[in-house]
Amino acid sequence: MWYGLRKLGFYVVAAWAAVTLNFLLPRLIPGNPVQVLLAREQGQGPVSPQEAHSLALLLGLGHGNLITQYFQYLGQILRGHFGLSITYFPTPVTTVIAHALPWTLTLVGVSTVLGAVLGVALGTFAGWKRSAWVDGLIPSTTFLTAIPYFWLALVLLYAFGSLIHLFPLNGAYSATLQPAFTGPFIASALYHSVLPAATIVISSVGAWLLGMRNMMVSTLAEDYVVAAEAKGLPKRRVMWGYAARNAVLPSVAGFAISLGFIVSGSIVMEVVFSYPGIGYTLLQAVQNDDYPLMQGIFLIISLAVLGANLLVDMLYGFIDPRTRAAR
Amino acid sequence: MTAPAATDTSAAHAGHGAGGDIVLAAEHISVDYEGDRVTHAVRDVSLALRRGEVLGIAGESGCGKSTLAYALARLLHPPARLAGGSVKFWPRDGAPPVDLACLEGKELRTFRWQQISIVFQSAMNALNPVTRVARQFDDIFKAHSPEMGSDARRQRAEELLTLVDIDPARLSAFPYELSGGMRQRVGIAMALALDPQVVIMDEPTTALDVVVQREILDEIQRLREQLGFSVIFITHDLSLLLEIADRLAIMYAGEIVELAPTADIQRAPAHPYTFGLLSSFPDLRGIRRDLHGIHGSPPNLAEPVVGCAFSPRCGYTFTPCPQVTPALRRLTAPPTRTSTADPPDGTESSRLVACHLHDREYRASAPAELTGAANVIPAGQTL
Amino acid sequence: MSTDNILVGTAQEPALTPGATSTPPRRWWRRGSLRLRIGLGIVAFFVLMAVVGPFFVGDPNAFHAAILQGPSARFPLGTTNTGQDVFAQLVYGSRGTLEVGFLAAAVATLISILIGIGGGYLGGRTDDALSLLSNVVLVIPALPLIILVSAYLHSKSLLPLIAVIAFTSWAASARVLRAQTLSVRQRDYVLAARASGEKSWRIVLVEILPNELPIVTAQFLFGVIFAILTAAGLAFLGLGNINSITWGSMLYYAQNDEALTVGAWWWFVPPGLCIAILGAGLALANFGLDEVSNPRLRVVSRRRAR
Repeated sequence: MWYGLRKLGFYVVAAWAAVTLNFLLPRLIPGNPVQVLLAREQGQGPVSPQEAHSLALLLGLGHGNLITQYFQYLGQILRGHFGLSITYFPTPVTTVIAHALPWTLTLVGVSTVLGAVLGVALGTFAGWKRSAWVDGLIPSTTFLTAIPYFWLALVLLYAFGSLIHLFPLNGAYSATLQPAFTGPFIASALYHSVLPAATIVISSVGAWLLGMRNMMVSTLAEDYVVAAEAKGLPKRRVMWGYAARNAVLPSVAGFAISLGFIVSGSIVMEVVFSYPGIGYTLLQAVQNDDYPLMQGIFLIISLAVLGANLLVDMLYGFIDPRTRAAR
Repeated sequence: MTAPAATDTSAAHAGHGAGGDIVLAAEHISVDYEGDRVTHAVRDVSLALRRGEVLGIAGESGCGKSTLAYALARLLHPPARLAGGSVKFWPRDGAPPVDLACLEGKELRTFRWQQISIVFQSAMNALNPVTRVARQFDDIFKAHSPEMGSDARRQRAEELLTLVDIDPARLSAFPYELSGGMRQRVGIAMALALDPQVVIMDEPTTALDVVVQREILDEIQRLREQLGFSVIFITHDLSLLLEIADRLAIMYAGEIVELAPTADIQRAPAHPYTFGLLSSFPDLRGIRRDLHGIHGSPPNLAEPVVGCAFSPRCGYTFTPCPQVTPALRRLTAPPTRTSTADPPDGTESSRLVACHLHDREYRASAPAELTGAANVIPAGQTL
Repeated sequence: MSTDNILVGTAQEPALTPGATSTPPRRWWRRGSLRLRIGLGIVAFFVLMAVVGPFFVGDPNAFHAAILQGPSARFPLGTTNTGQDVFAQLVYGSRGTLEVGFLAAAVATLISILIGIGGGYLGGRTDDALSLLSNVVLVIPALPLIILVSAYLHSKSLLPLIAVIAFTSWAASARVLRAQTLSVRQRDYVLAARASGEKSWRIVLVEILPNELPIVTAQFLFGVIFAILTAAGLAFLGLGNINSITWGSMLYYAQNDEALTVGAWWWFVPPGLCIAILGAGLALANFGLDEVSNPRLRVVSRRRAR
């Protein structure tokens, strides 16, 4: 109970930090970004005075001192006024994000889970067996963890997109189809997601595997595992119920770091595959100096990451009963 | 000059003396730890456990006693390896002995825990920290008695907890919710779950404070009287064993150096190491005396041992000791008289010792002050 | 784990051997394992490439007539679409990449030492605050933040890049060091130093830091991997330091100039491969260090014995 509340409290603080960071960062922009933006916006279409005003507030550059600006900024955020995107003028930033987010969430979400499950399972076997050839795989998994996501994406794209025309070269779905929950669309979406998903899974599996393997080796020396074997329990029960169940805990606890790598990796991966998710959109925003969109995307990514971490921390509290001990 | 009496140590154990038949016999057990250099952790150890008795194994850290226990229970894992020897087990019903090395797979799993169970050192670590106690009992029953329903399992688990004086409601607890003493009792309850014949206890009270230690020891005594299992009790704390063990095996550097009934060892130890151990702790109610301890450290078992392993630290070492390895021989006369391997009056003794001081062949050449007054223990010392 | 005692040559239990003392900190560099040697070998190779390589290759920026050519005698790794020597770029690129990697990791490790060990040692409110700071920085996604900062700054120089990578990557390491410091703090020799009145900073520097050197080294090596990957990712996106040649910038130009569609594998495969190999080398060195200090993790190639 306390564990859950403590975690929630922490993530509230972290969310506040992200929001505040978002407020402070535009001050790094040289010159007067509001003017620059307005000039560009007006070049594309008429801009209402309220829009100009709320833009200034959003970038934390309204009138008044720092505190006033901060609260004005908070006001904007809480009312969902994220401004208009320059790249897709005059579409609101929220709409742009709403279109891109589901693609990233499903692709990255599913791939992360897949990579984790696969990595943990393989690591369990690698740690349990401890035979020479299984341990010999370690250098190659080490190699895998060091591969830059985007380079792997390039290689996969080249190999299975250009060289062997097995998978499509870009996009999330065939250009001829409209997004809808129809069979052909979903099939096309799945087809287009194979290479991007493979990139994430292959890159992330190595880290899970190695972490799990090392923990298994340590855990197997613990008395309760030896005791379980001495009790004549079936091998499978000892391996999963006694060894793996305990060995997986640090991996789950360290999920935050893994997620950091996965988020970074998927951003660049989306660029390689021109996959219309959040990462790709972020790059477009960068290339167009689209500050409102950049602000909005950073906030969304941060909150999503925090949310995922909170979920996993809750999961940890569930699988490790020692967290329920009164402190 | 007659040769020393033939000393087949297994003959010395087999069905000999009071105490009933043998339930577990280990012969010439050797355990190596592989690595850059091979460490010979257990070197040619033979012993026998009789039904209903408590056999204590005492020795310093690193003498190999825990490794020996694991070898007996077939729990050795790489880098540990059974380099030689055999372990035989005699089932209750008088069937022929089972060679433990021949058991594999399902047979081995079935054998485990039903005949031989183990109580581990730190109960904190011997229970799965993320699973409830009930589930851990369940695992045992599911593995060995699949025909038991969940109600039957629960009932039996409750019985076992009651047996060790724990409230059955604790079944739904996690290990971290129990105190150290309670965890150890749960460990004992689990060890008795399938009514085994032999319970190996590896330092069961070392991690507990003295008060709880006393409770656990009393518990073990009571259960033994009630259920009649044999115990191999391993500890570095000799004072514990003097209370609870029927026979004692003293281990040093991977070998047994003395094996005898507890009363005999307490009254008159035959091996200098045993004597050193006994003088290392005070007797709470006995005569006040100087504590000695034993200087030096055990040898590095990665290197071959030449001669007696204890010789460098021994206060009674003489010429043959650093060169000739003493064999474990039957002591045919207690050390209060002139001890030789062959007594003139032919009395038998159930004491074994590995020391040249008692070897008829070498004793003659021992310096007078070591054998003076025909007594290994210097005059003036009392126990 | 009572069976571990076998591997210790001297008795640790004081009960029977009055002469035994509590053991001082173990030496971790005693024996190198195979992995450590291979890992360090790989790293050394690339360091060598970065330091002396440029003296042996041509000008990476010079344009040649032979554009988009595959590997040949003259150009071991072919040319780009503007006729530049890929191999020369690779060698010069190693310099740029390693510079960023090692510098950023060094700064990050320094920060993590200050905050991790400092907080762990000082304890109390300071520790709580620093620990909270570490956790928050850890959990906020790094690359998006770095992208934003790079984009806002419009800077193409090295220093802001190193700074921003360092300031977003110190947290994981700080957490590890803090945990270790919390346990080291209780050890006998530290308590003795405190009791004898040694100043805090001296204790940290002389007693605590040397003992955590293996972990600090491991974290530094991870930091290098992370910094290289991040910098490469940034360069690939066209951000950060693309004026100088790094493996990441090579991939940027390769992607932008359609190396993929024309199948110029000699252009985009080598830079990424080098990153992967260097990363693997660093990781292996890390595992090797781990093995030396924790013998249980070593590969034991024996059949399961009974």
